[in-house]
Amino acid sequence: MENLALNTIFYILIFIFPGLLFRKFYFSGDFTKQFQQGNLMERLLWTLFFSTLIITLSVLFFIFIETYTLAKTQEYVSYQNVKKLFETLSANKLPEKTDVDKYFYKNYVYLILILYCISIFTGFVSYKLIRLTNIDSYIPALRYKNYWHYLIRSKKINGQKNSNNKYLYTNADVLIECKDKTELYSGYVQNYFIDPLTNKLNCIILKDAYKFISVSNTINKDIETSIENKENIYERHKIYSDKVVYKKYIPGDILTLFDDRIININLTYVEQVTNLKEKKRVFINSFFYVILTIILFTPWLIQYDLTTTIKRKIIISLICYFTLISIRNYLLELLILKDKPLGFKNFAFGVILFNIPLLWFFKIINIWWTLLLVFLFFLFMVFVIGDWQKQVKKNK
Amino acid sequence: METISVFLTNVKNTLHTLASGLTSEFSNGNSLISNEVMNIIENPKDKKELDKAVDYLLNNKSIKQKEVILSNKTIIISLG
Repeated sequence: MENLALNTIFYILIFIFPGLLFRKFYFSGDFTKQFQQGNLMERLLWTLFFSTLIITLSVLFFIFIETYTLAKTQEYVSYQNVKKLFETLSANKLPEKTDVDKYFYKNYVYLILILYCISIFTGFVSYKLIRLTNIDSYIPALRYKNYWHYLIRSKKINGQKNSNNKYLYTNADVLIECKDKTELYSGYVQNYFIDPLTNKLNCIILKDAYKFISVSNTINKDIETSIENKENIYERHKIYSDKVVYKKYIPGDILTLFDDRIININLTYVEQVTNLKEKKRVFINSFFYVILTIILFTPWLIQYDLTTTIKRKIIISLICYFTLISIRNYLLELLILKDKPLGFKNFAFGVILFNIPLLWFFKIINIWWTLLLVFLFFLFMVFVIGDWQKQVKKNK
Repeated sequence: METISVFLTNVKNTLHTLASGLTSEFSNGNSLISNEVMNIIENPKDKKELDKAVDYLLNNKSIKQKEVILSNKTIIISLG
């Protein structure tokens, strides 16, 4: 035990892990490799910075909970207790059983877990907010290092205007070196991989790829026969006076082209022009998210008999969340803005199931009866929806 | 045995229906090929229409938009 510095573990748990978790979730999706980029000192400083920020946020959160709810976080984990624990660990000693009251360690573990959850949540929400708002296109400080993300998706950084249209996909024409000649491949960009340290492209993956083949007019008989037989191997692309350019489809789902052979890449961004239907959908979604935020936060802000405990606040927030999402989706369905309609019956059953816990919330029945009711109603749904789906399949 | 299998399938279908009622078709535009585009390009006829429209826009730079009639809807595309 001599070599084990307890205070170091304490420091890591408090000052490193929250920042580490924040960074891990902030660099999600296309940017996971940025998590391990940069020198160790720089990463450590960023981690410490984010840890401090999250600890401050968490303290504010606990003060908020303490002020606006009946939950007493400071009752067990008081400043004196934390200070005593810290001093004991700094002396590289394990705390005595009698040092602090019996609930201290349990609540201390809970608080650490909440701190980690806040780190994960803030990291992921920050990432999502940046991706949804494209704010990194305008603020260079928020820009991720993976420039291929911006290149492939036509963002403002790329020299292209940011349009209000909806991004559909990117088509790539990739010129590659093959022995003493070049070959041009084309297809939908399915994915790409970059070097974890340099962000340089390792490979690009094309879906439904084809190769351009230029053939003299006199020797293209086999190809023409294949086209006439509709073998789906060749397709005429352009006809010139002396030659014909064909598209030769590459068998298989995807084609991977590695960077060492790529000479250049020509990207075409295809977007869908936002029509009234799409605008309506965006409006309904935006409106819904405003209402959802208000409704979800209300139980946490008001002092009310039914929302005294955190458990009750969480349950009512979840009920509101599921119900509102169901209503939003059904509203989109009614306005014919949803591609896969669910039907009124399924919508109604879902809403009823999600709202059964209200009986517990309003103290009409206890938790066990509520769970039994949820289970029984779910069984009822299994028979009704299951049979209904069978009939639909039969009819089809 | 068959009854249990049917019951489990029904449970799966019910859970799927419940999940469908909670998922959003609203795309945040982050995936490279969204499910919506996947549905289009998996249908050979729709894929052909889409590719034809993109080729047309590439060859006629002065035209900014092109209507694409797909099997279940009509969309207008433009090059970003």
